[in-house]
Order: sequence, then structure tokens, then C-alpha cells
Amino acid sequence: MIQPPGPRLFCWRRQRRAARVPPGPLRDYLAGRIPDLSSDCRETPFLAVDLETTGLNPAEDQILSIGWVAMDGLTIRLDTAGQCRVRPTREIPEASAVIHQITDDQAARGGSLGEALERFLEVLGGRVMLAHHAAVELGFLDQACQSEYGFACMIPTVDTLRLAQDEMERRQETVRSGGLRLNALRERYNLPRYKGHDALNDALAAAELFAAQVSHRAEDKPLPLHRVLHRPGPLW
Amino acid sequence: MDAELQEIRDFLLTSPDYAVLPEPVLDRLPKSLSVRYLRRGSPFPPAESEAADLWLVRAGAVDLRDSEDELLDKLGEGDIFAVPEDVDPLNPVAGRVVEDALFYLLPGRDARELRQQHPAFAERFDRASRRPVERALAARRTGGNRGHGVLTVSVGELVTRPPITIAPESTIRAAAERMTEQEVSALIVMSGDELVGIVTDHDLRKRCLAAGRSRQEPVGNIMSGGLQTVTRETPAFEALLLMSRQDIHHLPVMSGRQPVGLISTTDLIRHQGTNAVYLVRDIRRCESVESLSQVAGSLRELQIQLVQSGATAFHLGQAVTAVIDALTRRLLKLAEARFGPPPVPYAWLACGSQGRREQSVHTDQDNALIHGDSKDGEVDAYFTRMAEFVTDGLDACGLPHCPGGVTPRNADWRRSVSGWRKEFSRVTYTPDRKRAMLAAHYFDLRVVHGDAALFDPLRSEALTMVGGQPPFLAQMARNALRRSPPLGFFRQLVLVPSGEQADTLDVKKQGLLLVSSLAQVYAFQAGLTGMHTLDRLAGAVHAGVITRDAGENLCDAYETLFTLRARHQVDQMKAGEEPDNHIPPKTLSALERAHLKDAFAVIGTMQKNLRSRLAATGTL
Repeated sequence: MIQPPGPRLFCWRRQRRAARVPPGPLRDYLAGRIPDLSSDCRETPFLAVDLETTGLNPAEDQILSIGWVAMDGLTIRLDTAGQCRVRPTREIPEASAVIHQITDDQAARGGSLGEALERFLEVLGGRVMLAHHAAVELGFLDQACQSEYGFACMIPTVDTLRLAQDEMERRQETVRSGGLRLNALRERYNLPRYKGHDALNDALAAAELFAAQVSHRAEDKPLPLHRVLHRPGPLW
Repeated sequence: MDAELQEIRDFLLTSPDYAVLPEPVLDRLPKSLSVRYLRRGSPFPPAESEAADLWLVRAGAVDLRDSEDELLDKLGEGDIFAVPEDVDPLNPVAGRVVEDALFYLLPGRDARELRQQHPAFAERFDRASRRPVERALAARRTGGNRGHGVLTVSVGELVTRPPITIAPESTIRAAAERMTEQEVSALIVMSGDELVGIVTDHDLRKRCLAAGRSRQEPVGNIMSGGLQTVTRETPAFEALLLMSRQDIHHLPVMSGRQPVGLISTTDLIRHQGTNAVYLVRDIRRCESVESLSQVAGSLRELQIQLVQSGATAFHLGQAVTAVIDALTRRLLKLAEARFGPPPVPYAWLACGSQGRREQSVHTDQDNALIHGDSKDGEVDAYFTRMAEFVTDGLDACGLPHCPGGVTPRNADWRRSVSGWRKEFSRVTYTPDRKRAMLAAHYFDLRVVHGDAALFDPLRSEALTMVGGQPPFLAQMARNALRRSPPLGFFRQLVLVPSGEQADTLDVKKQGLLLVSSLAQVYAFQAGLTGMHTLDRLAGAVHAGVITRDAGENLCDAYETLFTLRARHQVDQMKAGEEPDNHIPPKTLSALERAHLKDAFAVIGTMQKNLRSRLAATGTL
């Protein structure tokens, strides 16, 4: 099967970057294999991820925690669930403390950003990242790797928000305001409303949403991974 | 690491199956689970499932069907399904997701481990594995009678061998030998082709040995004649009630004039799992309120046994009412012994669920009294004393006084024949809301003890009277339509996120009584004399007041609600709680919820129909 040039180019660039990054967690990650991009979504290993941050601007705001849970195909494995708190270097703005309910005291018990990244990149190895509105996660992770290792990370990613948007466009539905929020989309697929909103819960919520999206879209035909892969402009 | 998965742990706790596990185990358990999403239409369990995998429904719904596509069970939020260890090729259970569903899946190896370590969990797990298969078998057994509950066996099915007979001229000794050799406790006495009597081992003891009679005398001298008999078609339950009313232990089964078998209380008890007969007998032997209250404690055991042996709503109501009637009669006898013979004839009446023979263990007293006319002031004083004695006695037996004052202690419910006649015409000719409510009570009055001739003619008279009274019918209908079924309850039950406590359902007030009130109105319209709600519904169909479908649906609704209540009470009693009518939604299985929803929908529809029909004829 002929692959579209985008993913192949992406793999090639990733390998090239691995050669330039100094030894460490990011190099190990980039040098590691990523799943075959032509494989069926239902057989792909994923890692659903959610970040909690002090704001939405990667250049100014900081990561407070990283939550994740692995998915093998469409089975979410709770034994892999994990969450890392990060001790921020600046005070947490009051507004974001209200949303995450993470206070300075709690955050102070977290580890350093480097420790969190190291663990995260290790579990991400060999998996495709899955996130809702992945641009935020990618932006913050790039920024974090940049500051820790001097290079941005290149993570193959699936964005559940983008998938929902594509699906609505395909059906020529108008998107209502807030209609692409995680909870609104989950409701469409009869998924329960979760009360907790820590990084792990939201990662799990995104994983379930993805399982629902693929189940509803794929019928019985295979759904190749590259068809759902997130395409951030400059990478393809 | 602080990966808490608190949300999932909390949900496990709302599942009655997982909740039996100790806290520390529950805390660790989420880590062993995986999460699966199956869209509507997917087969369930999925093909790659392994034996003993334990599926917990987090959201959505699944239908389980047998090989003939008969619905066995519905799984909803909080229900578990254990993949069977080995599939019965004759009864494969096939499921389909009917509402997009999210599951928490515990792999078979972990489920097995949990089973081994926690017996309470193992028990629930086994039940979950068995349930669909049992339902499949049950569905097959009842064949075409699905939806009408478990039909009890008929007497014919219990008869396993032809009766052992003996001629009346044979000696008592020969009879005893015959019984020993055939291993039976009773012989049928036949003179030629004619059934003339029965002789039991009890007769041998009492009428021969204890009476010092010679063993050479003919057996005809100690047999019982004038027999009650049943046919093969008689429902076993009716035979049981007949035995308990007559205090007998054997019944010949006849086909025409030919005895084809003999059934004993033991046969019935073995099949019905009930000791109603012994209970009624024990009650009759009690000489004081104290001993009665002790015996009455077994009423709870009776309901547990009946529910577990799958008795229908009709049979359960009949059995419990039979026992409560017996208690009442015994107390009246004790009252007569204490206060002397009644100065004028009287009858003790039951109304409400006792009147209709639809009681369960959680019930209070609803009684009335009628006595012969007399100018003597002492007469009323006598019956007041009697009423106090009997109602206090019932209270001591666990049947609390009527909170609404429906009791012969109250002069409104203790009247002479002419007093009741006046009251009946008052509520009939100038009905208002309060009188319609009273009339609804009066309509369910039944003589429990005493002189039925005082009351029964009055009742027929009153029924004829109301027949031509449209305003009366309108008031009765308004009375029946006062409450609607709690459809909102069901919505709440389904949609309220688990963990939040929804209100409980009063299955009597919000369900059963609505059906009974509708049945009352139909019975008025059709001029029926039957009392039981199911009898009234059948009568209404027969008289053309409602369609056959409507009648069957309402009967099903009644059966569902009654059975649900009975089971709920059994669960409470087993847990050492006081039985009541309040069902917490959490305890309902998905199938029960589905049935409940159907029942409420039927009641709602029939109320609407009644309202529009009466409006169309200008009655309402």
C-alpha cells in the first residue's frame, strides 16, 4: 500500500532529529519505533493524555500535571493509568486553581518538570498520543522538551476534537457553540458525565470518546491510523 | 504516583455486586479493569471474550436473548454479566447492545481470584453467570404463558401414581399392612367402582389404636366419608387453600367419578414450598393473644418461601390473606369466649387489600363491623369491646392499627344493618370526593367471620343502586385518577448519575393502588361482584368494558408491581429489616426497571383512556 507522503515525511524527520538530540529521554523516545501508520486504528497502541496547565499559552504558562492511560486498540487498560504532578516555578494564578482545584500547596508536592517528562516519554514510547484539542498538549510538550532538552518532541497524535469536527463537516452539521467540548461530545455517544477533572480523568474521558468515535465510524472496515492522525501544518 | 481512578472506584461501589467486596480490595480493583465501548447493535459479549470475564455496565443497555430470540434479561447501568465458563450448546445466550454502552471489564483470571478470596462476591458472581441461563430455562418451561408470571402446577402434574385402594369390608389390620407395603400415608376406600372414603395413618392412630378398637374391625368403621375432591386441572394452589380452610391433609384427585390419584399436603408443600396449611392449623390451636402473636411471626417465613418458589401475585396475596383471615377469626373466637356470646348476629368485615385478598406481610388493619339492628345500648358497647380486643390483638400480631381510622373501634366503621344501608345510599346518591373515597373502600368489603347474610344482600343492593348513577361513577373515576404513575421517577432512576440518592418508590401507593382503583371503576361499570383486582380486570374484559389487550397489560402491570414488592420485602426480611413498600431504585435490576417502566406506561395509558372516555360520554 502506498502511504501518503505526510506520515512518511514525519517518520523520516523524526529519525533525523533523534540523531541530533543529545542522549537522554527525548533521544530515546525519538529513536524508538512508532506504530505503523497504515495499521488499523483498532490494533494501534495509543496513550490518551491530558495536561493541566496554568493557562493556554505554552510560552507563558506552565504544566501542572500530566495524566495518561494506555489503549490497546479500543481497549482502555486502567492498569496503565498514571498521573504526574509538576511543581511549578511560578505561583499558580487563582483562575486556574479554581478550575483544576490544584493549589500551590498541592503543586509544591509535585516533582520537577524534567522528572515528569522523563516518565511520560517512557510510557509514550511505541504509542500514538491521543488528546482532546491536542494542539494544547502538543504546544506545551514541545515547549517543555525545548526547555529541558533543547529540541521539540515530535509525537504522532490523534485529536478527538478534530475527528469530531471532521465528522460534523462530513455530515454537514453546524457546530453549536460548546458543541465540541469533551463533555458535549461524550454525551452524543451516551458516555457518562464524569465529576472529576484531573488530568487522569480527562485523559480517560478522551480515550473513551475516541473508542466511541472509532466504533461509530469504522463499521467493519479497517480504519487506517493515518486517516485519523492529527496534521499540524509544518510537520506534514 | 497518585493515579486515583476515584471515579471508577465510586462507581464500583454503586454496583450491588461489587459493593460486597471489602474497601481495600475495591480501592485496588480499578487498576485491574479495562474500559470498553460497544456501539448499538454490537454483539455482546464480543467474540474475543474469555470465560469468566466480568462485564459491568457503566452506561447504555444490553439485551440478552436465548436461541429462540426470547428476551431473557436486560442489562443496564450497574448490572454485571459474567461470561459463562462453558456455553450450553442447547441454550446459548446471545446478547446485543441496544444502547451505546460503556463497560468496565474485569478479566476472567482476576474475577476467578476475587471469587476464591471473597465468598460473598463469588455468590453474586455465580448468580450473574446463572441468571440468563435460568431465565432461558424458565422461559422454555412456561412456554406460551410468558408475561403472566409463573403459573403454578396443576394437581394432575403432582399425581405420580394411581391411588392405592381398599374395600370398606377389609380389616383395619389389612389396611395398615397395605399402607406399610405401599409406603403411603393414606388409602382410598372403594366400594366397587364408587369412592366412599379415605383412611389415613392419622385415622389408624386416633380412631383405632387410641380408641382401643379391634384391628379385625372393617376399615369402613374408621374411614372419613363425605370427601372433598379435586380434579387433575385444579391448580395445586387452590387445593392447598382448600386443605387449609378445611384442615385436611389428603385430597382424592378425580377424573369424572373415577379416582386417579391422591395428593397430600406433603406433596403440595414439597412443590409449593409453603407451610400455609400448618400455619393456619397452628393459628386455630392458639388459646391466647400471646401464642397467636408468636405463630403470626411465621407469616414472614411464608412470604419468603412463596416468593422463592415463584408464586404469582394472585397466589401470594391469597395465601397471606388466608393467614391474616385465620388470625382475625381466631381473635374473634377468643373475644366471644371472653365477652360472652354476641347479643345480636354480627359479621366482621375486611376492606382494602385484605378485602380483595391481595395482602403482603407489610400491611395494616382495614376492618369494619356490621351487626343486627337493636335498640339495646349494650349491643354497641359489646361490639366496641370486641373491636378493641381484636384490633389490639392484630396489632400484637404485627398488623398495626389502621392509621386512617378504618377500624370498627370507630363508630363510622361499626354500624348496624340499617346504619350501613343508610350510609351506602348517602354515598351513592349525593357523591362528593370524600364520599367517593369512602365508596371505594366500601366496595372492597368482604365478610371474614360471622353472619354473611347480614352483609352480602346489602352489598348486592348497593351495587344495584349505583348501577344507574352516572355522577357516582364520575366521582369514582375521579378518585381513581387522582394519582398518576411516577413516570418521572423512572426517568430520574435512569438519568440521575449514580451515587446520588434518588427517592424511593412507594410501590403500593404509586403503583398497585392505581391498578386496583382502575379495576374498581371497571367493576362498577360492568356490575361485577368479584373482588380481586385480577378477577375484576378479567371480568371487565369479559364484559367488554376494556379490550383484551388492555386487560392483559394491566394484569401484567399488577403482577410486576406485586412481585417486585414481595421480593423487596423478602430481601428486607432476610437482611433483618422491617418489610415496607418503599423500593430504593438502586436495588432494581435492569430487567426489573424495564418491567417497571412498562407497568407505569400501561397505567398511564389506561388512566388517559378512562379520562377521555368518561369525558366523551359527558360523565366526567
